[in-house]
Amino acid sequence: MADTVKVKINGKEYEAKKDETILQVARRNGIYIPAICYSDRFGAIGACRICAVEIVGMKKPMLSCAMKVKDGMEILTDSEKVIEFRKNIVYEWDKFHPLQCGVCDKSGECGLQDINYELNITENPLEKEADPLSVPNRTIHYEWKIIHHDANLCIQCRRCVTICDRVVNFGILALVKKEWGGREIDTKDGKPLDCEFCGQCVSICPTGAMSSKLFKYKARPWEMDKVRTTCQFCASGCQMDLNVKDNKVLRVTSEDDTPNMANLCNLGRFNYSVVESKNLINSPKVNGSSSNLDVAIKKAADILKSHGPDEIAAICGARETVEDQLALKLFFENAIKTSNIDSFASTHIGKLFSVLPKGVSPLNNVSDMEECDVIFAFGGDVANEMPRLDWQTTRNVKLLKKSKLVTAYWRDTKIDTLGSVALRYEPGQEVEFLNSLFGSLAGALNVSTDIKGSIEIPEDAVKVLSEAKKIAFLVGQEALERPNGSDVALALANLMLLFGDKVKLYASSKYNNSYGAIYSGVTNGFDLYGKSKEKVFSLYDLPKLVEDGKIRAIFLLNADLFTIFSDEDARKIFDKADVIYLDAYMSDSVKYAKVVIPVATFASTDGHYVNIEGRFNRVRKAIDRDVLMAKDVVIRIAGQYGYNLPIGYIKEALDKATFDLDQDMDSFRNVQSGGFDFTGSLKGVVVYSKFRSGIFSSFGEGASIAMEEPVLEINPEDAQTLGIEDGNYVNVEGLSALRVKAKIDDQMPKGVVSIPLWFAGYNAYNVSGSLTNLFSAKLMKGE
Amino acid sequence: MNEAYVVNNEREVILNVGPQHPATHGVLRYVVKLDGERIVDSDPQVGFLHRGIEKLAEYMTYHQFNPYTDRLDYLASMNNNLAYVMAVEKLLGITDQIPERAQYIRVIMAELGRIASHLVWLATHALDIGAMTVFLYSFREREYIIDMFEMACGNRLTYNYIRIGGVARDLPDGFMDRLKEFTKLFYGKVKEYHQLLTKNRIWLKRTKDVGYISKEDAINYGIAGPCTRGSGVDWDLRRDMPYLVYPELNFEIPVYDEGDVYARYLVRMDEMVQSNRILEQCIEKIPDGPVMIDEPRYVWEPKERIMMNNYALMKHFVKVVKGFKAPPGEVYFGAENPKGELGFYIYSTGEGKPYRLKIRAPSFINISAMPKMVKGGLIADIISVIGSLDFVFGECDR
Repeated sequence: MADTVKVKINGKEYEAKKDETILQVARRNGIYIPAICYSDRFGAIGACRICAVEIVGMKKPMLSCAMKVKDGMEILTDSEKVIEFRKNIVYEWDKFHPLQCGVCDKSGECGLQDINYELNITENPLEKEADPLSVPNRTIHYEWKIIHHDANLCIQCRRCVTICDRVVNFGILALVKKEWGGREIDTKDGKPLDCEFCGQCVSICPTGAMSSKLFKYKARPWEMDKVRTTCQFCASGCQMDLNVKDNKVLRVTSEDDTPNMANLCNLGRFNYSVVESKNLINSPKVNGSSSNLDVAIKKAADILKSHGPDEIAAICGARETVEDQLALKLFFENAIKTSNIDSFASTHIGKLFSVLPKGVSPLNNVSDMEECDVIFAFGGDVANEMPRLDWQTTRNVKLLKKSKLVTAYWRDTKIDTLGSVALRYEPGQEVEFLNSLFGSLAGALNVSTDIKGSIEIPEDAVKVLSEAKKIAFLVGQEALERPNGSDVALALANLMLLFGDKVKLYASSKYNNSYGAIYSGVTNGFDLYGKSKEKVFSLYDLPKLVEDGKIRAIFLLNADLFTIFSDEDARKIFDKADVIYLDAYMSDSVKYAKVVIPVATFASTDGHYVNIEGRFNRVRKAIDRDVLMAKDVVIRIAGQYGYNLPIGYIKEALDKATFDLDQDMDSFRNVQSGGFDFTGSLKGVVVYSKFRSGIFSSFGEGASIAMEEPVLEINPEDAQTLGIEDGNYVNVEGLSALRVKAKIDDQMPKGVVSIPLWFAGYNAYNVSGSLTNLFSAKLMKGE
Repeated sequence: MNEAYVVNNEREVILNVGPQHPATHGVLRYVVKLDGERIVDSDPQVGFLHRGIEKLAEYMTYHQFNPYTDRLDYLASMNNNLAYVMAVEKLLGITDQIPERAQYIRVIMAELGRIASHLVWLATHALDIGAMTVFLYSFREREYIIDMFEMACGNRLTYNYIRIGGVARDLPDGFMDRLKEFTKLFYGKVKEYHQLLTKNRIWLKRTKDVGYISKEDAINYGIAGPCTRGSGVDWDLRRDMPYLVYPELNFEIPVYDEGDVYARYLVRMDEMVQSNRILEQCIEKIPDGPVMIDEPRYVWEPKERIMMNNYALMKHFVKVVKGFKAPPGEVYFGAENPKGELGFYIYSTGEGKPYRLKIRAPSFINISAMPKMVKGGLIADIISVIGSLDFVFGECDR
């Protein structure tokens, strides 16, 4: 074959592909070459030079991470020459490295220690001539938030710079020339770090130079037990290890062999302290006062028993495990005998999954996005809604250069900096936009249709999309949560049907188990395994049903109504209906519910979350708390009914672990939707923040330090007209007033402002109205 | 199904001996099928003390696993240390570099361990058969040895002293004097035991022609140590696959051809004398010098160096947390332990922890020959056979 070559490594012959590097070939065949700066997460840098190997016939050792193999190459990975070369590099690193191993957090998992051990260095010839007093003191960045950087410990491998640039696509770090004459890692503009605070730089740093302030001096690496579990902050299902000591989670790490390649975002990596925050519910409450579990369970059963089956409804927050959801479903369908169950998943992916077109592949591995030559990101900011999709897009476009990117959103976002064909529409115009795109593409693909829209679609976008061989649809949660979200879903389904089996769908969700809520059939319109069924009870109708007295008792499982309804609507529901509320964290619902029963947080739960890939990810118990899991509470309430959940019900449902989604849409449907009527000049949008996922996420240190308070983003021109400056407090007038901090952002389109969701003591839906994320904004400058 | 559990006619009875029984030396459940008092068939059941030591080894660094070997044959902890440590040293390729003094100390400890273990065997074996006095005598001498172990390493049980690369520290002051005293005294003590048992009529009745196993069977079953040497197999790893400084020492391998309990008794009695001879020679020959190799890649460096030298500190952290990186490959090392050949097989993939560690436990293999030995004998023979096989369940069940 033409594209394979033969190389000799340490005297043994190996076959290799033509464009592989020496390091890749060696690692694939189990030959060890040390490498400090190279990582599979971002490829070669060529900074550390430790991976040098000798190539017979070449004078100097060559870097194996960058050098491509050639036919007949003879490579020696540990000849004397190479070892000497490596030793000289390590001497240089060691020369001024502080003697702090005894107090350094990194000791025990330090790359520099490892390489010193490997090369068996016992003394350093460079130290004799070096005068320790002449060493310039380098900067220690105490002022950065969350991340601590000590340049004295840095060996300048540039891993942090590279991961920030190539994986996170933020690129705030650089090697900057300093006054003392050398270079240090610092922010490009020299200001204190202001970034996504994902801590990828901390996770990749081989030494203790980049470290987490939240973890500093808490424990040594070998003292902690690692518990592999699944992240609870979005539906990516990133695998991570909770590092536990003395029943406390002290930090979160992830390994290279995970599907997320050890990448984690701010929430996943730093927000672990939610599981032991002050805002956990500690004891059950009945009518607002503390009670014990037996009384609360009895009371809950009494409330349910005192109403007819049709007067009872259950809502899942899509954050509990599949086991919990299955228990609830069985209890409601078999003991109470009602199918009034809905979950928060029906606000977004539920809409899309009930109109899935034929041929489209709805659940895909995120890494399989690499097969797609076009990525179409629609209706949301992936970096905010699902960082893992953001990283994969970055990898496809920036690192592997495999895919072209088309974005469709109402503003420029971070992924546009990758170089995209940017399609823009105004908030609320989603259906119109999709119809226009459909019309243009149908023309290009020779499909006859009468669906068309009024928005002009640029030629290059049509060209890129119509020539796609495999296309990844990244669907934003935000677009599906518009007031006309069902129409958006339908218009999107039209578009996907146009491409048929070329489509790989990635519908993002901030709720970690919303896919599980579809699978276990606790979402309106879905039965077990995600089969579609008749729509019975919708979350959207809840305020009306309660008002009319049709629903009198509500069972909430992790579903804080104040996070989807405005305060007014939610309070009306609590006033008129008897609410039983199961959750781990404090919220407004706790104040008003008749019965509150605390359940375990994700760190004390055993079970499964289903992620965007349709993969059943294990959640493992890491810390003990004297609180039941939600399923056990449900089982005990069911026991009051004299109903025993069938043994093995969970196992049976979990063993299948594949979705039976109905994909029956096979013809285009003409959707016309007027969009949203804005009054006034400013359009308001409620968006997701990358630092929040649910109100409870603001109880953790990582997220609350990274973003303390809600921020209103506004275009500079609009700000000037209104006389608002960066950092001013602004009163947003809507259904009820809200006070937020203004941030002037020139990426915001003119005439649009956005406010984020999910901050403690703040409800964005007070402005926009329940289950809506658009509003006509009236701003008043506050003090 | 095993024949031992099937009753063929109304004369046959199935009887459980153990697992809680004073004569089973631990937790052996021994199922016997009887025809009157004759043993028709039998089946030893083991595993009641299983702790998964081999699996535990896969989760520890090589240094960390060392104390776990104490819990194998807990009557001869240091012998287990030795076998394990020698296997790791063979994997690392540093066997030749072990300082001579350390090698002599290891031999001293191994031979003391052998005597201590044989003394416990003698005491319990005799006690089982009814000779109480021997028990008191031999525990008296064992106390000398345990005291010496305590001097060297601080423990009276699970004495752990031998380390990868040498021994933990040099012998304490006064140790050699105690050892000299002991070696001088011990010949006379062995004579006392002989006087109590060797020509004793009851002893002879209970042990002669009991529990016979032929030379061929002994080899086929793979039993090792004094048990095979009682059946005429002239095989001792100290002489035939020599390690440490054994080639420089003068000693004989006692072999008896009878293959019965009495022969095995005599082998062990003679072995104690030979071990004492080895000890005497060690006292003469032991040189001065270091007791640990200077190979910072694998062994703990002295604390002073760790505190003063950053490179030693760095490497110390790596060795403690991740373990030293052993070269990839597989090794087997077997040492002549009091119970027989204790072997460690280590498979390394180049990580800081063994990928697989297998222990060839002599007790386990010796027990497997028991049904052969007791078949056709009387039920009371089980007790003397158990005594003569000298097994320890820490090692058998692992």
